[in-house]
Amino acid sequence: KMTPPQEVEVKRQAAREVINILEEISALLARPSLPQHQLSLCVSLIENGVNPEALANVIKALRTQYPVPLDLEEESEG
Amino acid sequence: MAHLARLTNLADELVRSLTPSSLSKSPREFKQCKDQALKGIRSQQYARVDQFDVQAHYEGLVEKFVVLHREELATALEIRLDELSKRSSKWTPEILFLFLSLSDRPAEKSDVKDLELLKPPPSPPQLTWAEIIADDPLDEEGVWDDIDYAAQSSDDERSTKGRHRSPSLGSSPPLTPAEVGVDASPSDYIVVPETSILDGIEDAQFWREGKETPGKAAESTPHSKSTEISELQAIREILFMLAGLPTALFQYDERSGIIRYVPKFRLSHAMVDTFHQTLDSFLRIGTALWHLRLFIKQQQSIPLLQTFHAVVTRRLRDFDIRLSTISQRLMGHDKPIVVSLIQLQSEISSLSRNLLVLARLVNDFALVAETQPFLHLEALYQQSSEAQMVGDADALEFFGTLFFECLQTYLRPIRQWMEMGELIPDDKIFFISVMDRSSEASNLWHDRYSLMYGNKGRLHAPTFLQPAAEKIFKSGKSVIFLKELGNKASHNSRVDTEPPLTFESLYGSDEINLLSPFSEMFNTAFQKWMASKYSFASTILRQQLYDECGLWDMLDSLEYLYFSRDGTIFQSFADTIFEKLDGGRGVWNDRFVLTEIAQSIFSTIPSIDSGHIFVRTTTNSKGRSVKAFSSIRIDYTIPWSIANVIQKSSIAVYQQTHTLLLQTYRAKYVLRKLALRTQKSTAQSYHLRHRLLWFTDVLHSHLTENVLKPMSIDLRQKMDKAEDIDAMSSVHENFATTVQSRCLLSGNLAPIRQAVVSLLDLAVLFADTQAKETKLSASNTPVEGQHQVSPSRARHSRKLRRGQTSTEDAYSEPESEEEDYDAHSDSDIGSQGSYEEKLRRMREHFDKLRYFVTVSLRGVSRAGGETSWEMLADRLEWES
Repeated sequence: KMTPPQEVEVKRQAAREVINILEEISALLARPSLPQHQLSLCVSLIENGVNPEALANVIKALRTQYPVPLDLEEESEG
Repeated sequence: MAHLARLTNLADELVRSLTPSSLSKSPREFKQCKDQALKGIRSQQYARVDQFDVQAHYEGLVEKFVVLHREELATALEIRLDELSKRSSKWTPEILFLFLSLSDRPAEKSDVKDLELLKPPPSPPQLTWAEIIADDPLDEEGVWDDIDYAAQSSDDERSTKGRHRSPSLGSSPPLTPAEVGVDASPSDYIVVPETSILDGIEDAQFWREGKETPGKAAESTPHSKSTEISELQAIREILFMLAGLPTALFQYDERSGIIRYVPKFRLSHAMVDTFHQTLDSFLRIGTALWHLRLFIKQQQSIPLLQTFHAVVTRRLRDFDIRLSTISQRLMGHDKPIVVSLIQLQSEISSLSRNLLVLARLVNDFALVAETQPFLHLEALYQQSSEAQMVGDADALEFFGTLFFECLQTYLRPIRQWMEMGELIPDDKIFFISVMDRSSEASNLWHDRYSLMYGNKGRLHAPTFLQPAAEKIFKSGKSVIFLKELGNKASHNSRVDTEPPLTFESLYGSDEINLLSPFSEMFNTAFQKWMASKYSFASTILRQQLYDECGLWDMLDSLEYLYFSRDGTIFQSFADTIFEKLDGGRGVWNDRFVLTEIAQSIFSTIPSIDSGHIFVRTTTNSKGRSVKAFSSIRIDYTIPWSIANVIQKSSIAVYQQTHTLLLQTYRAKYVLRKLALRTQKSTAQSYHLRHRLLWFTDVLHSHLTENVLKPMSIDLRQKMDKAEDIDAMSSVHENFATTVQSRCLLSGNLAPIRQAVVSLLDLAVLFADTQAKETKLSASNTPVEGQHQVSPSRARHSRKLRRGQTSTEDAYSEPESEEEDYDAHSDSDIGSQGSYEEKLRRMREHFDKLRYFVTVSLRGVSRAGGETSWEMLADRLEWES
């Protein structure tokens, strides 16, 4: 019984929360951790059917090819 | 295809984000990466993810963490997994699998602290409707009113009314799907200062106990222990105090105007007393500077003082800059330096020397600044002179520049006055003021403006300007005069650039010349400055007066009219009057008739404009006495511009002289008319006639040849040399007074004059007697109607001309009851006795009078009078 804008708002909120949690998990597990926008890109890719293993390989390959300096990692890409 | 396109886009972005930015600049490499990434992504060789497998993995991870004593990791992970499971979507396992693939020995490397970094800063409290309404209630009027759209629209039809204006708060632009997930809240832009830095600063100010406010009087308990500070700290506090800033070491006492140091601070390596003494020496300087700063803070209304404020502020600012250079040096960035209070002392004392003197000056006249606004100018001048005398180039430059900067403001009204002749209304500072705005044009020069004098009779101007004040005054008046004459054009075209009056122009920018006195240099420069304005106006004015206004012509005319410069004309004028008088037909002194006569007679003279001649007469009944002629006055209209030079008071002298001349002429006339030989001629009559003739001739020649002629020549010479109107008018005034005294017309010679007039009267009387006798003897019948001895003759006591200095037009001459010399005897002479008796009496009278005149003339001239009297006395004495 919610109006469309409100529904969208709720969904947005939910999506945000999910992303937050995922971010936190990735911070715990994956080192170097994925910055937020990269994470959202990955989520979008996966939702479009990309195989996560393949994606992980690509990311790893790119990271080895162009290693990111350590202190850039901790910047929060706002 | 859309799917592929989307994939491509996302892959692009991913690659871009993963690669350093320099790569994107080489497109080929970038493309290579992209293609590779895309290929990798789209490869199909991988198996599907098994979500249970993933789950098992994660649980294993959690256990591993627990086992490896990373409980916090475990709990964190577990919590999040739980949360995620509540909101899981179809793709959650995949994502989790992604993380697993990317993870690299999380047990060792992960850290809970990373979570902290992820935490976004706390978002501001959401704006609630309650708050909005509290701020801006929606019930202000007009918010809910109907909007009349029709009034603004250009359409003819009226739009529907009753549309409420919906509040625009709370609406947000529609969301696009892309925005979900990229969340930039405004709170991200807030920078929170790090409190640690501030704490560091406060800790560095270790001497402040309890961080009390500096500058206020601390509650010093008797047992407060002294705090040690380093020398650098002390220097810093001192520098702050000198700059007028609040410090902990010093306290400012506003009421008494004293700065004190707080005694509880001391140096670690010096004795308390030494330290305090050093502080005292700084305090002296600091107090003076503080007073200067307080002075600057006051508002000033007078422009002069505002300039002074500005220059003092600038000097203080220079001092502050020097202070900051000192402190900069002490911070010692480049090289190690020595920190020394003593050195600071010597530096500060040399820097602040001039400012201390300035502070003293300011204190001196801060109280009287309103009443005597140019006191500071004089003080600065004084200081500069002293500095020059002492040989202190630095102080001379300091005070000299101050003086000239302040002088510029004072010069402004002077410049305006000298160039335009205008005064600023209600200006109490300038020493020239308007006396009488409505004065006539003929008094323009003398009366309209005047110099202002102060209480003690001193000119209301600074001392160094007083010698020049007269010149300034005159030049302004010349400009105004010229303006009135209508001669404006000449000025504007000739405005010279005035020589600058600044310190640099005086002394140049190199070596300061300490040898010439400051007052001299200032005077020379100021004279030059004034000369550029003054000389022009006054010469033009002089030229104007001579040429256009006809000053010389006027002088000529006056002499013709009053002084009988051309005797023939004057005689014809006089004779006409006398004929009318003797003709006995009605009133002889009708002024219209006399005016006509005068105009016609004097019109032959080219310089006279006969239309301007008017004769005025008063009615009196003096009968046959020559005093009747004092009722005749000739007026000649003088244009206002010349009237500033030839003032009305001088014209009175002209009138008097004219009357005297007329009287002399009268006597001569009546004597001339007498037949030489009559029946009754006796030795007495011959004798008397001769004497009287001789006397009148002597008098006449004295007046015209000895007095009037040489004086006229002298007047012209002096007038030629006169520089400006003041000089010209004073020359003319002198001329008038001298003429007056030499013609025996001045007040202190009244007895002599009356005696002279009596002698003239005697001549008339004699002539009358002779005529009577001739008639008597001719007709041998007593003639009725002798010449009426006018009863007014008995009233001889009339001053010849009252009000010699009055400028008002007096038609009637009041008769005063002054004692005349021969008040009683005259009436007897001509009335009784036989002819012989009368003649005898007349002769006695004549001798008496002549003797009296001679003796008094000699006496007066001996007492320091004119030599012409002496000459006249000599001539009158020839017989005896």
